[in-house]
Amino acid sequence: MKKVYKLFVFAAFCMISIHASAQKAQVKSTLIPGVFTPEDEVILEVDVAGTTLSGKEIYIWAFVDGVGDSKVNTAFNNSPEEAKFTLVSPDKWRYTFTGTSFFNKASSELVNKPFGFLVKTKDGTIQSEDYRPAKFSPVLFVPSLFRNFPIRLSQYDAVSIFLDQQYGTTPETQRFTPTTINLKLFDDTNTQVDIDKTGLPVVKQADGSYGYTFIPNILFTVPDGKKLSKVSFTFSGTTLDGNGAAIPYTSESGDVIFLDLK
Amino acid sequence: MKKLTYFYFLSLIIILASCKPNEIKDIGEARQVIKSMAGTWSLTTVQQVDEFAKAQLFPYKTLDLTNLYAYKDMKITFNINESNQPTTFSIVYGNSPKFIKVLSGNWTVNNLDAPSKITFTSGASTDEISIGNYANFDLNQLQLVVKRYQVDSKGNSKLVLSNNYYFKK
Repeated sequence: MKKVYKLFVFAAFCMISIHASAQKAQVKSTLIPGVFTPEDEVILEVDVAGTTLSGKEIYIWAFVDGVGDSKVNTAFNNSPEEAKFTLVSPDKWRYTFTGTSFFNKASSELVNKPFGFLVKTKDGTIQSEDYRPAKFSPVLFVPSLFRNFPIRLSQYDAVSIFLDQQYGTTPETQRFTPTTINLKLFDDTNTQVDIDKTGLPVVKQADGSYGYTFIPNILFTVPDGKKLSKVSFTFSGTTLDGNGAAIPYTSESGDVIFLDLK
Repeated sequence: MKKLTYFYFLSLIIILASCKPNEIKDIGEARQVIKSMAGTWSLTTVQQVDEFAKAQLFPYKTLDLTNLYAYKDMKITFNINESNQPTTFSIVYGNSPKFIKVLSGNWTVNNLDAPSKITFTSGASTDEISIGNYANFDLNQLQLVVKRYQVDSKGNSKLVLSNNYYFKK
């Protein structure tokens, strides 16, 4: 019985150790600008305060799913100096890259693919979770279900959001009759600002195309000096069920990113 | 052969004789932009130009926002002195969105002969706006532009958006 007890304690200890070593640091990150093509310079800022990476020199390990690794992904247990972040302030680091040269790929190979990264120590014994914060925007115009105008804007500018049903990927999205848009505003800490704005009437632009225009600071109550990061949206309306009766339908959601423009 | 030489010689004489110096007409007095700006202007049209889309040759480059809000309520008055220099200004928004932060005070320009930027000042508060195409003055129109730039880590800036405000007297 004593042996069984010892074995149990040993097993529990092992489980706790495995769990502890497998836990990855959760870092805060920001991409500047929030919208970027593969040819734009991007600044990745990370804050490792309060994580297992705090106080350590950190390195990037970057990837684009289905495309490949960045040129600085040489050996996970020995990152090169080119992969090292630059210290901005205690535990706040910055890394600058341009997609095409960083991944050694043509723009066309990166467009609409998510930029992915993790943060690690040089020898890789401590690392963060994987993050895929944003996709590379098209260099050429690519029609899609959602479109915002203008493409690059600040939180102080009017923004128009359009739905073009011919580019929907599901029959429901292609067939429903949109009548309203629902908006949710977020600040730079990803905290919601003001309440949801729902049931805002959309304007028909053409058959299958609907839009809504607003100025964030006017539609929402935004405290002075509050930095906004994005507005998330869905379109709502009705579609017909198998018996021909109208039933409510809401589209998938999309985001408009606010940039820090000068 | 002799006839041909005679023909060429005659042609040359005719061509030279037909040459006349171009008369360069006087282009008139220099445009007095500051003087043209003086007075009260009413906002008539608001247009967003997606400069990023323009540069990338994307479709959807402009959007008219005039009727989105009560923009037409907005009026701006520019005052000048006897020397045609900017002095004071005032803005009445009514229910229009406010795109210039300072409501009244002094205005200055970056170049008195060919201004491209106006600075509005009231105490410690300042705001800046660009002046659009001068040709609008010929149509009794004033174009003010809020330009948005994306700046990279090296300090290089790229114009990505223009909010254009067209006024009439």
